Amino acid sequence: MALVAEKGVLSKRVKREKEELLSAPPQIDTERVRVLLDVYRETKIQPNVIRRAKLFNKLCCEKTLYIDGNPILGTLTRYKYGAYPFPEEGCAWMEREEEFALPRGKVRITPELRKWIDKAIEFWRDSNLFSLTREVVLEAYGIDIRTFSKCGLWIEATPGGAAHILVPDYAKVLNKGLQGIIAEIEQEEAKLNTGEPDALDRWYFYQAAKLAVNGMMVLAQKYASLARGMANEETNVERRGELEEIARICEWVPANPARNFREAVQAFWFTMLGAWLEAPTTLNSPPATLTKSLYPFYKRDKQEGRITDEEAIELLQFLFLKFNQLAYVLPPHGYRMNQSRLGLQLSLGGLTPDGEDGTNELDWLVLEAQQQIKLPEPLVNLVYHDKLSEEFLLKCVDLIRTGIGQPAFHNSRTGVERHLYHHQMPLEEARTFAIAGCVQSSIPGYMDGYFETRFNVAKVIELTFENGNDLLTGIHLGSQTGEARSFQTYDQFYQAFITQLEYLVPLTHDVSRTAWTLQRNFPTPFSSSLINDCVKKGKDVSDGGARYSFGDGVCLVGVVDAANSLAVIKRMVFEEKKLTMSQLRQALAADFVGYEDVEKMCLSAPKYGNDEEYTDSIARDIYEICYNLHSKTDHLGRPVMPSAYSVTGHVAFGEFTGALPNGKKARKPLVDASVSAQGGTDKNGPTALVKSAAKIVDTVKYSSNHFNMKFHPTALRGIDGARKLLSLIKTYFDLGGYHVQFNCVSGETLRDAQLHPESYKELVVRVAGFSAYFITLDKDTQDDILRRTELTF
Amino acid sequence: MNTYHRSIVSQEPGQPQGETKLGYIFDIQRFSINDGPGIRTTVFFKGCPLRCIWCDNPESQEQLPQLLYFESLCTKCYRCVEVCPSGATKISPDGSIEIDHGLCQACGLCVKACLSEVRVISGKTMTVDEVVEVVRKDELFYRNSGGGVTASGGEPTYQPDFLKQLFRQCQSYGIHTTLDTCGYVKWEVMAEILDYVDLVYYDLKHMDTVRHGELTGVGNELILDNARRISQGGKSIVMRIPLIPGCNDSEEKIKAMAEFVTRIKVVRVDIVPFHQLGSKKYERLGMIYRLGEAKPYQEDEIQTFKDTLESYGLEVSIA
Repeated sequence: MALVAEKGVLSKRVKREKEELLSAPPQIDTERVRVLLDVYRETKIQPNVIRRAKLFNKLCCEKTLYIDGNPILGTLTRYKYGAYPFPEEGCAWMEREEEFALPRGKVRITPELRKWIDKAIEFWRDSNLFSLTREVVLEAYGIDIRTFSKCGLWIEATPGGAAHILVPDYAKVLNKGLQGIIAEIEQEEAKLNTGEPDALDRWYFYQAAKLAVNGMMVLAQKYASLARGMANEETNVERRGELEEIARICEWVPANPARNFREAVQAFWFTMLGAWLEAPTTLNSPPATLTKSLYPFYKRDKQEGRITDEEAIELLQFLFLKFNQLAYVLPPHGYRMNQSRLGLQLSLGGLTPDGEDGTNELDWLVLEAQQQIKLPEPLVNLVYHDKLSEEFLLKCVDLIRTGIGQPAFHNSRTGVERHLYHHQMPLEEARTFAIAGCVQSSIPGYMDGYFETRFNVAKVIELTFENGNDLLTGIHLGSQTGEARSFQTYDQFYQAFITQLEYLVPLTHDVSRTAWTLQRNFPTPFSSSLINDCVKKGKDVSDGGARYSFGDGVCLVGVVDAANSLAVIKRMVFEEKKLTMSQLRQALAADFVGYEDVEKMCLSAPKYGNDEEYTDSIARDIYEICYNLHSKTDHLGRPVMPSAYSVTGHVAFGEFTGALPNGKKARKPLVDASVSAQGGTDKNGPTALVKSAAKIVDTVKYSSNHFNMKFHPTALRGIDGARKLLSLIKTYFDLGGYHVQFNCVSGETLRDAQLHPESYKELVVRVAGFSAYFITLDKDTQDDILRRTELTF
Repeated sequence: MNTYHRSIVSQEPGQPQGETKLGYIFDIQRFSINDGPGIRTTVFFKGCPLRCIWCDNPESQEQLPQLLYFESLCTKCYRCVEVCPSGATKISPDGSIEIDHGLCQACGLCVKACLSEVRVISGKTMTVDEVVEVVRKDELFYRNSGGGVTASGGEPTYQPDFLKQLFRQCQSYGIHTTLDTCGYVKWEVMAEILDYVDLVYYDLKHMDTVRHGELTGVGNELILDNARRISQGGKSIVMRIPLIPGCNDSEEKIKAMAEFVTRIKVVRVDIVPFHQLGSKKYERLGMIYRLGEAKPYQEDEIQTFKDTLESYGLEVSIA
């Protein structure tokens, strides 16, 4: 196809905007706090959905606007790079911390900011999602969520205030306009008889939806007026013309159907922005279907000679820059676990509903745009199938070669099977899945996505050694399964481990479900209007309005650490009898200091990732047992399944996990992802690792798996290297693997970046599900990336 | 370390030592991507009739297992000294560890005792079935990439019966076979092996037999003759020319090799430029490396060699 020049370079203007954005200081905007407090004081007796709609509407009407050199208008806050505190999620930490984090850096809390934040805390202290959940769980289960988090057993025991992972029906906004959606709502409302059962709830939802959608149209008009005002004062003729054009576009979209590619791009962005204004938090409304929803507009403009590919690429790059202006506030502690992620997943490839290759020319332009601009967001994903053209696949490898870890590859076949298996949906719908969340998927425009707590399985090994007690804090967390030193067989230890899981997996799921039930206090009427069938049913997404829910249940982290640890106990203690349980326990308690010979034995035992049944089968059993222990219904009675990915949770969990029999040292990271190998232990090379990785998680039953491979840049040399990489990926998928992503910067580069961060401001690496600027990662995460075995092509 | 000179003198080409049911193997590398088409599993045979001075796998030359010692990583805990039954591992007056490779039986006790993993035994005996079992693990990768199994070394034809059995079994499972050989083997032996070979990677080192002898320990007559015969038999050959500074890289010598190659039919010529990656292994084996001063080539130099070969109408690639 070769749509674009091989060595495309950024336009001067895009380059300048990129530099300005990346050097813009992170800022906290308290404007939303003011609006939030006003609305909640004014609306005490109204249903939550109305309160949230009023909040959204008022924020749209009153927010301070910001316009910079980007021809696409709309920023989240009044700053170039800013975020809104979101006290409804949880705010106790805001009281303690003097610094808040944004994905690209930290912000000192000045007295002026503190004034507003304290007001927010005063209002939300006892009614935020975390405190509500904590209180209920304490009453109902007799356990303290905070303790479980502090001991490193759970992360995100409560979801964010609106952490649904929704992929709005962008195409609908582009084709019908928000006016069209209002018409749809009014049509349904007209059929309503409020005297019928539940009809009043529906009526409230319609009022809320209209209020919210209207708010977004007001915001666009405000941008139009501001642009027009600026145009009137602009002396530069060219810029003046541009501002006038921008004003005309924002006067028209998103209220009306887009008439060309330029308008469609602006409407697309307003849709995303609306979702973020409503719930300013991670993973929200990814541009998953960007290429599919924008394609008809591009195609028409192209056919009629109104746009060149260079212009389209530049516009896409401006849109990518808008993505990177989004941000959210998180505690410094959360920064360690979620750093740098917005989770703006963008899917390429995939299938059409009738099973043909869904790739279009915009897929190519997105690859080219990202290859030139190399931004951490969006996260470009490829939904892989065998009908993709060789040429397109080679273009994907070109992007991998840049070292930004994109695109991540996802297996279409497994994804389709998964949606059919869990949701019994029509095949045509299952085929349209796109990537959303971390490594999960979604039926765009039709699905409620959410994620439950991440759960540290490696910690359960520790608990098994200590009869359910946490060694690092002395707190009792698990079941009483007996003194490990009294175990006479491997089976006794293994059964004790399973008994711990039997208690902890259902507990974790129940606590998560409780939190998601309480999350219904924070509906999202704007986003819900853009998810089918919320309007038809008259229900918010949080009440189950979406046609499907993805059902991402408890997420297991550290399974490979646990499997490798069990293999050590099996081999060294009970088969070869080189160690006693007491010796091993002592060595772990001492973090192997003075027990170097024990450490060596631990490391020399069989390890997962070598295409050997001994340990791989243990890992597979753990995943299978946890799957069976996990209930199959969520808080609304819909299908749910456990999940397997780490993001950077393996680092955070590792910090609260002591030394383990697999040779992991106390407080050091766990193994990343869900099927990656423990650093340096995959001695049989990439094909063996791929076979193990494809084997241990049933990727149809599970909501995902997560696999990181790292290659030297030389590894992908030439077309021959590219083909071999593609064969490797295809085989992994043939064997049932679902997700794989590649880092291909060299170890030398990363080490140099640690020493001279100033020279590597733009170095992007893939961190377990998310791309991030390497220098913004903490030292442990950096080291962890370095340690992952460098596989040479 | 002068034992190898003795062994070489007594060495007839293609006369294997040891049992034919067992092979001496020093490594099986899965996901090999430079030893033939597609993704491959390369079986490295231990033992070689040649002693090329640039050899980057010196541990492949002797057929019996050998101890490798990574001195720079050693913490001098001396556990190895305590367990060594033959007295081969000793403490030097300066506190460093000294290994008498003549005494060492490669029993592996020191490897088990070592906490820092600085000792490795290179080489073990395996049955054909054991090797085939490993090779078959990656069948799906071969199918998807057009790959297969490669026998390399050392010199695979140095263990001809084992090699034949291995390749026959692999082919019976539908696996593509590549033989990576120096060609120094009796024709009758080679001919029998070729029945089970799909593709030959063949080394060409020097056209002058005297110089060839200085560089590799053997003359080149048999090697050149075998190359001609293989080609006449219609087997696909990829000719591999190692470029070694000051040994075979003058324009005249390159041209002489090119002329030879044009006379026999080859699929392609691979240039294998000299590198220093194997030099450390000599130390670890207690051997002397004679090319320590030689510099790796610059890219433009390699390109010049490529241009020269291409001027003969050959398809050339750089390995």
